[in-house]
Amino acid sequence: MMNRHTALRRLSQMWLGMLMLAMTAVLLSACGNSMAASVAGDPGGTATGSKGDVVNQVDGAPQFVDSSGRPTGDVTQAAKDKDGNPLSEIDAGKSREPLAYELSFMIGQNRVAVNFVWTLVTGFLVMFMQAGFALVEAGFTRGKNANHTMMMNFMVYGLGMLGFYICGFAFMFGGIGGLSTLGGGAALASAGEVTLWLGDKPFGLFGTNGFFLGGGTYDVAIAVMFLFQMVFMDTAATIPTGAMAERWKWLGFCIFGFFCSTLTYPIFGNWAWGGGWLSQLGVNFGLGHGYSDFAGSGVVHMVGGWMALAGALVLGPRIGKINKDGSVNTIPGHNIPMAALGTFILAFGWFGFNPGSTLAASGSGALRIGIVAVDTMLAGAAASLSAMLYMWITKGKPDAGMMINGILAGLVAITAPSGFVSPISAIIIGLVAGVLVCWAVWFFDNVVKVDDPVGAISVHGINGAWGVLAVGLFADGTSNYGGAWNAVPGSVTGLLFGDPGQFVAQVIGLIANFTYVFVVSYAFFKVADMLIGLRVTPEVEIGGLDIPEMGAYAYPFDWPEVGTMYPHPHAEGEPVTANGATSPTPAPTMTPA
Amino acid sequence: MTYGAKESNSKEGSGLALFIVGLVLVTAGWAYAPAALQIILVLLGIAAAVGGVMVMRMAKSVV
Repeated sequence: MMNRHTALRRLSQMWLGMLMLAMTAVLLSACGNSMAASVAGDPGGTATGSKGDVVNQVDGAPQFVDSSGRPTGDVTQAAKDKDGNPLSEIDAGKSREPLAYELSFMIGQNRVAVNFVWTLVTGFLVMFMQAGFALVEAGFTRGKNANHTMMMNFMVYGLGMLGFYICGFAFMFGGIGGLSTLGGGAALASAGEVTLWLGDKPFGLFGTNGFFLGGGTYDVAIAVMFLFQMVFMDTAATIPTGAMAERWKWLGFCIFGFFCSTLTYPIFGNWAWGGGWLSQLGVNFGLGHGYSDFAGSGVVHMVGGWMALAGALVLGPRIGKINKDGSVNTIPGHNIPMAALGTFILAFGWFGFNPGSTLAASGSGALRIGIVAVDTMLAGAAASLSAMLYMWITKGKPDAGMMINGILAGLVAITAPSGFVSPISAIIIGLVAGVLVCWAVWFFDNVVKVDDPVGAISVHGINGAWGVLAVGLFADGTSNYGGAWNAVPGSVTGLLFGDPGQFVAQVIGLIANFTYVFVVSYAFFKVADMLIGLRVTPEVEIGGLDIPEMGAYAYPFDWPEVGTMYPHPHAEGEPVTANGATSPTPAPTMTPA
Repeated sequence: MTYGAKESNSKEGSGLALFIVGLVLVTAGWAYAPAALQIILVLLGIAAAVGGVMVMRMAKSVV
């Protein structure tokens, strides 16, 4: 006879099965609707990149001809073709230069192809940064939690990616209005931006095209954009895993992965990069070129840093971090070489992060990628040097942890300005970042009393803020990305080079970032803590999270630091092989004592 | 193989799966479903997501 418990379990399985079926039906209907979308995509890649992508490579102005055959950038002066459209220079020359006309199609597609390859390869580099984060965070924490810490960095990739695919990308870029350097993206029409009107000023809030990359967003250009932006989102999402390490329940982390990728990150991302209200501060209020964040000191790192701050505050410090008298203990990590190697991987990936943010290597001023890469390198180098010297002079030792956090701080700080500043400015930005991170770590430890095992809040939050402000100070007006930035003609120019309005826009962006991200994240963590519990029990924390949460140690043999409370999986005398698996053949040298 | 002391458990995983199904249903229903089905799917998704949270909440006490 079936007991009540079994019946309930079967009922819940049926319920889950029905939901899965319903989900499949909806996804199928999404595919069906995609066929009927009003703006068609180009999933085959045959229509993306054409003669229209040949022109506008430098100043961004459309090149037409007037009624007397002279070139003009003013569409109102342009002659009309037989369909009533403005007549382009290329179309006007079709009869005079038929071969050139035919070649223009190939040249246009090749230009877009170069930009595709550049954006994809740099996106792959950014994806590899996940490995760097995993090594840094695992190295800076204790061996008894290494499996848990490493796997958070691993799984944030999968969780975040799917969340961003489901709705994050649509919220962020669903109203951007097209992707000029990638030759397409018309399905991300600006009409899809949900906009609040205050007087006659539009305030874009979030986009609505591109859920599940369905409809017209099943498109080669949009796919490239999605991949590149997805790995950026993952970078932001992985920052809190360091600040909340060694006490965060796995389930809480999983829920956070979805929350971050579907809501927190995309909404601010839309305001800054998706055509939202911060990017329009220049057009609407004359504040420089609006909030300008080239590669994401604010959009990626500050967002990650403030999420980390909120999470660490809700979780509270690790056991043993703060004494009863309020003094603070240092809890050293278990593997400095691992952290250093991870940092090298991160620094390498940053050459994708910043130069890749041009979304182009051909035309529209994209050849500035050389300067962007050099700025990135110099700022990181300067910051690691200043952090080392600061610690050496003030504490007597060139602290390894601070050298590592120093270079990361410099890289974070140069991320926003890298597309707008000179190499000497990059050095200054890096030097400041290296000292700033040392102060910030001390401040959060001793004043705010927030336990951040890896220094993520200081590296990403504080230096992200510094990077955002640095745009408003050091942008020198020499960049030229298609003749305009955020729809304001000309180049981004900071306070020190004559445009105080740009600095004001950056300050507004910084305040908006902290207010939105911290408040939303704090509320999320509080609610999640109340509903499902975010922190492991004291027994688990003391014994290490690897066995209770993950079921396996990171280091399967007698690692001196682990196994203080929970039995080793092989502790009952099972022989193990060199990789830790059970084996019928005894392996005496590998068997725990 | 024994996993030693258990903090995490399978009920948490079930709750998370239900929560994800709910998220997918809400989004897909809202963005793509025909008008007649839209409200039903969104409500079904919300129910699944809330149900997922409830399962995860129940799992909190099963250690």
